[in-house]
Formats: sequence, structure tokens, C-alpha cells
Amino acid sequence: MGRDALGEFEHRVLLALLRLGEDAYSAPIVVELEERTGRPVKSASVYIALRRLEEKGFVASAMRSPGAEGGRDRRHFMVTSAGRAKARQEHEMYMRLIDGLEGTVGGA
Amino acid sequence: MSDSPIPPARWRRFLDFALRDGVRSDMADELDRLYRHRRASSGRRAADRWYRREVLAFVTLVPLASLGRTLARSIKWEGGMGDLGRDIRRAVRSLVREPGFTVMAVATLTLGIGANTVIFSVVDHVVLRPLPYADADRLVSVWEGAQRAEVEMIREDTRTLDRVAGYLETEGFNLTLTDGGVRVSGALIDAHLLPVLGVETAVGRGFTPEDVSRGSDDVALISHGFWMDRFGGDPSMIGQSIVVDGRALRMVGVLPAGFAFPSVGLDVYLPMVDDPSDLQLMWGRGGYQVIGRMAPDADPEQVRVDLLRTAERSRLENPFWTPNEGYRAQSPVVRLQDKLVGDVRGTLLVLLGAVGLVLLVACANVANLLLTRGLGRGRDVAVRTALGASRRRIIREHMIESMLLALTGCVAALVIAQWGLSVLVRFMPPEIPRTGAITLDLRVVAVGVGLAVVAGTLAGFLPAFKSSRADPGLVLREGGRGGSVSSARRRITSAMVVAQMAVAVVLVVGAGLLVRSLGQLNSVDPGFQSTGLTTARLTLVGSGYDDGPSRIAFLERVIERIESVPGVASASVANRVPFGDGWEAMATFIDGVTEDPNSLPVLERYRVLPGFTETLGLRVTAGRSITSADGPDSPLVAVVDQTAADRFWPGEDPVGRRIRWPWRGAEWVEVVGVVTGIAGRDLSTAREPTLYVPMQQTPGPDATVVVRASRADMALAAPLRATIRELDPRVPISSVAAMDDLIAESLARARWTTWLLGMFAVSTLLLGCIGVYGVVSYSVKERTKEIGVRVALGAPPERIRGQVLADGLRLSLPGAAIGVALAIPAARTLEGLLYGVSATDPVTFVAVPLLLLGAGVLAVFVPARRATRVDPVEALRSEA
Repeated sequence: MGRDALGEFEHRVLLALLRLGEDAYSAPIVVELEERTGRPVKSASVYIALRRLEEKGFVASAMRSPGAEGGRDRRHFMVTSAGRAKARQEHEMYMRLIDGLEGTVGGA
Repeated sequence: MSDSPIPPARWRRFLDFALRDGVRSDMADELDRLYRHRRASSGRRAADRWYRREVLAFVTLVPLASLGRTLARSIKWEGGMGDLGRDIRRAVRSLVREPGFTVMAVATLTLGIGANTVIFSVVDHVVLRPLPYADADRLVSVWEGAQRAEVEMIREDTRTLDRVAGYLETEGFNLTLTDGGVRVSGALIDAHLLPVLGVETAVGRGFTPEDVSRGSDDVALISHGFWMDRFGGDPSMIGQSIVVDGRALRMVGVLPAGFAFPSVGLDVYLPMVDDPSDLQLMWGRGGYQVIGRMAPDADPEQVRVDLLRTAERSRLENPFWTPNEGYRAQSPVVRLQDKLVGDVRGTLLVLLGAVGLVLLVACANVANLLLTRGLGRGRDVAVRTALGASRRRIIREHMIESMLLALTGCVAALVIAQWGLSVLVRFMPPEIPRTGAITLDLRVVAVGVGLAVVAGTLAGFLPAFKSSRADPGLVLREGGRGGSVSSARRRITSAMVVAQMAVAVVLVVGAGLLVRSLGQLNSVDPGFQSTGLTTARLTLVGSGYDDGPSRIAFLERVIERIESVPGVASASVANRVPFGDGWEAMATFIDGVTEDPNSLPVLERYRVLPGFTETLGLRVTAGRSITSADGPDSPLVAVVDQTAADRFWPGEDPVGRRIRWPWRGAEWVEVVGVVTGIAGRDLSTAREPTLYVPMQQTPGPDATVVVRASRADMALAAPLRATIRELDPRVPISSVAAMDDLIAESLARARWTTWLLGMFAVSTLLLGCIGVYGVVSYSVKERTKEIGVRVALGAPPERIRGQVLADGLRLSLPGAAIGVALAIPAARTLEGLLYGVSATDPVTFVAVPLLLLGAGVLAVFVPARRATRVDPVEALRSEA
């Protein structure tokens, strides 16, 4: 796997992160993924994926105070422009792959 | 407590402990949030389970992920996966080229890993795994046997138990079928037992409070196995009736498959009847077991304290007698798992420790084999190093080799373990609990593979490290055989052999102590002539003999008929026999001796028909024994044994003295005789004071026939069975056994432990000797030239032989000395398993090192002989 390749799970985490926008730290990502995919997700896996994405430069993180909710500082994640580009690129690749197959795989 | 729920504290701490700072600060709070989310959506139990899994995932996955990355980097750095494949192929080739070495190493590792896998799977299933009930760690066992009324009192009083249930293990029931009767196993349970355990019936329903009240208790539950075997799993059988102990009962439900409470393989469960108007039932029976499910924030100690109130209430409300003050103050409350596992834990952990040592010795042995072999290959490695192979590379190759050996050993070990486990389980003593489910499952296999990796690393690391350090210049200059290698390497090899011998001493001492202890147990005098006795237990209640007089009349006929069988010297009946089922001990008031009604002595009691003590072979030392004149209407009498006489009437004649049971209104019983003493509950406990009372005066449901043969070697089991069957085929006969077998059975666990530890000890001793042999024979080979010169110069063979023997002793002597030093603390762990032998038994501690030195001498016998046969001409020529 190349240095900037996106694993399947990493891809999902990236998409969840895009959807959550500003509010993204790992607990909501786990909840989001579970709700969207309907499958249990290990937060350890999410943690590892986020670290990988960060190493690959698709995601950046910063510690932020949790505000009114209380508790310790938590790490917030945001998608970098490289991450957005990657997500778009992957999506386009899927669209090309699926082009003309709508009838077979049930529509895009 | 704050209003927002927090995850289980223990696991939270584990997470804190296991994670590095960076990960922890990121994740711990996040997990708390997710936990609250879970808990709100799916409840506490599910959330707790989820949290535990998450924590485990974190502490395993995160380090693995980073390790994976590091590994990927290092392999890339060394030339990628292709290289790895090449290295593996190279290792396989070189192992195949030396089949002798490979077989030896694999066999050694197979032994180590296999033995560990087998013992671990036993320990895992018996001790480690949680009980198969929901939230099993909240289940506790309360007291050690309670009165029926106390079960209800505990339920009413407790503030620390959410639910309370009772059960009673029985000796089984008679099941009447159209074609005769069979004996089935079973237990009595109350309506709360299944809910407390969190178990639901597979078919039908469990017992309701209605079912356990007298009059409506004509119901039964059956086990899944019984349902399948007897009724082919037919659901329409529910609601049908079966005849148990002469009563027609309606089957209301089937327990789930695998239900094994309170023990494995019970067939039928009947209601544990509650009838407040029946004082005998509620207060005169005892032995009911109580379990409870603790409230979420309670611990066993709190439960114990909580129940002291109940104990005091019971003490005062007991209608028959008033027990001592502080009644049940010491009665334990323990987790159900601990109660079920009991003192087997100690035995199993000792075995696990021993088998771990076997693996260590096996690893040392393989390491030595690899080191010695490395000597032969020094030149090869030197050439490659000189040509530029990196040191890392050399280490990796060596590690791959040892891993291959270990993993091959692991595969072989798992195959053998599968078989070994079934043998072990078959010979496992019956008191080891939870053995039904022991199999080689995935978890055990994973442990086996893990052990193999550890073993491969342990065995391979030192040799790999050593051979990568060899200075190519030096090795190549020395030429010829690739190096009469550094004395440093020889020191390592020798040190490892010494360590092996030391461990062998530890294990052999342990085994030796157990053997001595078993010997002591075997020579304990049970107090009666056991050889030639045969016993059989009869179930008369429910077989048409429900009242005392009819039972005694039948038993008298049995005795009469059996005594007419040729070869039978005498026969009698008691409610129980020593070492057999059933047990009766009575708090007894002794006239003029026991002053304090609050601390009465407890005496073992046998209810006997005439001739019982005579058939056992006890001698009357004063007065008389029980006779047929001691009928229901004659004065109450008892015979005491010598142990009781010595304890309560030292130096006096007990005959004519009086004793009394502590019930209110109980009559005095006159002591009419003294017989010789007999063993207590088993051979390892001290003799207990014992009473014999006439069965006619204290009738009870239990009956065991005991028969003495006129010749010791005669088999009476078959005629005994036939005679009883002839008299009344309806009476079920169970546990027909020779008394010698009953005694042997009581020692089954001691024997099993001794055998296993003995096997491990012999294995390590063997491995140690192989180690000594390897080192000495290598040094003889290495010095062939030197020996040749000395022979040529006229050194006598004894001198040369002596020197080789001395080489061997240089390894086994320090091994023995270190081993003895280590064995002294190690033997302490065995203390609980020893009988009549101290943990520092001088006989064992002298004999074992001598045995080991002897074995060490044997191990160098072959190399010594080889040394004296060196032909000087050959030796000098070959080295030219």
C-alpha cells in the first residue's frame, strides 16, 4: 500500500469527519459510523485510523477545551485540504467504476 | 455519587495503566462519553460489557498497530518481504539437512508446549473462566449448609443480596419405568434458583413458589440430556408424568443444554419443599446450600456481616436446641466461583507452575542445541559476515530458525495435547469441578501458539546473538572445524545446563515430597481390616419400605440371606460406612463432661444393625457392642469408640456414662461399650470421636450393606447384588464397591497430582541429563586430539574416564546445590498438599540430589567410554 493510499476503514472515518465538520472528536465519530453503517465500531480502530490519516496528512488535530460540557481537554480533528481532495478523488474514482452499472448494483 | 454514570472502575484503571500518555489523554474521556451514550441506549450490563471490550481493544490493537508499522519499516529496510521468504526457505533447508538436530529440538519443544497447553486448558476451564451465568461475579455462596427455614430467613432479612436461592444435592432418585427401576442423579432446588443464576428453561417453565409448597410439589424439571436420552427431545413430554421415588410427578420444564448446576450431569430436579408446619423438615435436616446475587454495590464481606442478624434470629428461633452464641459468626460468604473451584485451585496452580518450569528447561535445552550447532556453523556465518551480511540479518536468520522449530513443535504439541487432554480428563479425580467442558478450544490454542512464540524467542535469542558476534577474522584464521570456540560460549552452555539441573532438582524434590506423602497416606491405618469388605448402598424409601420397621425387617432379611452365601463370613447394615457416601455428625451433650451447652463436641455417628462393628473388624475393649436386644422399646444405648473414650473419659470407664443430643426434651442415652477407633472422613484427617447407635432406636432412610468375605481375595459384589435382587427387585442398589476401592478413591486426587508432577519431574530430569550429555560429549569430541596425545603418552584409561566424569560432575554438582537452595522455598507451596511429611523432609532433600548426581553420571557414561576408546593414531591424523 502506498504512502498516501486510503484504507477502506480510513476512508469511512474520513467521510464521517467531513460530515461532522467542526464538532469532530472521536466519540461522535464512533457514534456517527455506527449509526450510518449499522455495525459496531471499536473506538480503538477509529483512534488508529485517525492517527494514520494524520500521518498521511489528510487530517489535522488540535486539543481544545470542552467548554460548558466540562471535563478534560479533548482532541478535535478536521479534514485538511489534502484530505478533502483525496475524498473527492476517491469519490470520482468510484463514480467512474460504477458508471453504467447502476442497473446492476441498484443505482448510485 | 455523581448523577452521570461512570464505567467500571477496575477497567478504567486498567486503561490508565496500560496506555501511554498520549493515547490516554486523547481517549480516556472519549470512552467515558461513549460509555454514557451506550448506557443510555442499552443499559448498564451491555454498556459495561462494551467498555471492557473497548479497553481490551485499546490495549492490544494500538500497540499492535504501531508494532506493525515498525516491523513493516524494518523489513523494508532489510530488503522487503521477498527477503523474508528467502530466509524462511533457507532456514527450512538447513533444518531438513540436519534431521537429528531438528527432531531433537522439535521433540523437546513439543514436550514443553504440549504439557503446558494441556495443563493450561484444565486450569483455564476449572479455575479461570467465569461461571456461565450472567454477571457471575455477583453470585455468592452463603454459609456452608443451612437449615431449610434459614434459607427463607436469609431471603427475608438480607439487605445486601438482590435475590436468594437454595438447593440441596441428593444421592439421586429412583425412577420407576415400565420395565423396572433405575437410579438417576438429581438435586432439589427452590423457585429462585434459576432466576438467581439467570438461567431459563429450554422448554416449559421453572419452579414457582407454589411448586415448592407442600401439597403442590408434585412437579419435576429434567435436564436437557435426560430429555434427549429418555424422550428423544419430544416437547410433548412436558406435562406428562414420571414416577420418582414412588411418586408420580408432572414434568413442567426442561433445563437448557449444558446446565451443570450444582454439578455436571444431573438428570432430575425436584422442588425443595417449604412447609413451615413441618419442624423436622425446616430445622432438623440441614445441609441446604444457599446462593445469592449480590446487590450491585455489595461485596461478600458486607453480605457476611449483613447475615449475622439472620444468624442470631435463627439461633433464637431454633425449635430443637439453642446453638452456641456467635452462631455462624465464622460462616463464610464467598464468591460462587471460589466455592465451586474450592481447594482444587492450589493443586492446579502448583501443576501449572511445574509445567511452566518444564517449558523453561525445554527452551534452555533447545538453546543449547542451537548454540552447539552454531559452533559447527561458525565458519559459514563468518564468511557471510565478511562478505557484508549485516548483524541484524544474521540474528534474523537465527530467529527464523528457532521460530520454525517452535511453531513446528507447537503443531505437534497441539495434536498431542488433544489426545493427552482426553486421557488426563478421564483420569481426573471426581472432586475436580467443571471438568465436563474441558476441550482444546480456540483460546487454549491461542495460548499454545503464544507459548511457542515465547519459547522460540527464548531458545533462539542467545544463540542468535552469540553467533552474530563472532569475529569473522578470528573464526576464519582458526580454520578447520570452524572454531574451538570461545570459552565464553562454553560458559554460557554450561551455565544453562547447570540451570536445567537446578530446575530438575526443584521439580524432582516436589514430586518426591508428594510421593512420600502418598506413601504416608497409604500406610495410615483406617482402624479396621478393609481388605475383604464389600459395601452396597440401598435406596429403600420409595421402594415400598417407607417406614422404619418395614425397612429394618427387610434389612434383617438381607443380612440373613447374605450370610448364607458361601464365602461370606459376616454381614451387617449401617446408615453409612467409612469412606462411603453419606455423613452424620452430632453435637452431643456428655453428662458430667460438657459443662458449657454453648460448646458441645461433635461426634461422628453411625446408626447400625447388630454385627456392624464386628463385620468391620473392630474389637470391643469394654462393655459390649450393639445387639439385637437393643430394640425400639428397650433403653436407649450407644457404643463409643476409643477415640471418644480417650477424649471425654480419659482414664475412666465410659460404660454406664450417659450422653444426650442437644434437642429440647431429648432422653439420656447410656454408653454400653467401647470399640477400637476408626479413621475420620478421610485418611488425611485426624480420627474423630465416633458413636454407634442401634438403627432400631434411631431409624433413618439410609442403608448401606457391608459384607466380609471369609477369604480376602474373594469377589462378593456379584453375589451381593444377586441376593438383594432376589429378595426384592424393586430396591435400587447403588455404589457396590470393595472397601479398598473406596479408600483408594479417597486418595484419587493425591495420586493424580503426584503422577502429573512426577511426570513433569522425570521430563525435566531427562532434559537436564540430555543437556549434560550434550555438553560433555561435545567437549570430548572437541578434545579428541588432546586425549589422543595423552593416550599416546601412556595415560591410563581410568584417568581419562575420570576426567570426563569430573566434567559431568562440574555441571551436575552446582546444579544440585542451586536446585536444593531453590527447592526449599518452592516446596513451601506444596505444604497444603502434604500429609505426614514436612516441606523440608530430609529424606527427600538428601535422596533427590543424589539421584540427580547419579543421573548426571549416567549421562556422561557414553562420552566417557568414547574418550577411553580414542585411538591416538586416528585422532592425530584426523586433526592434521
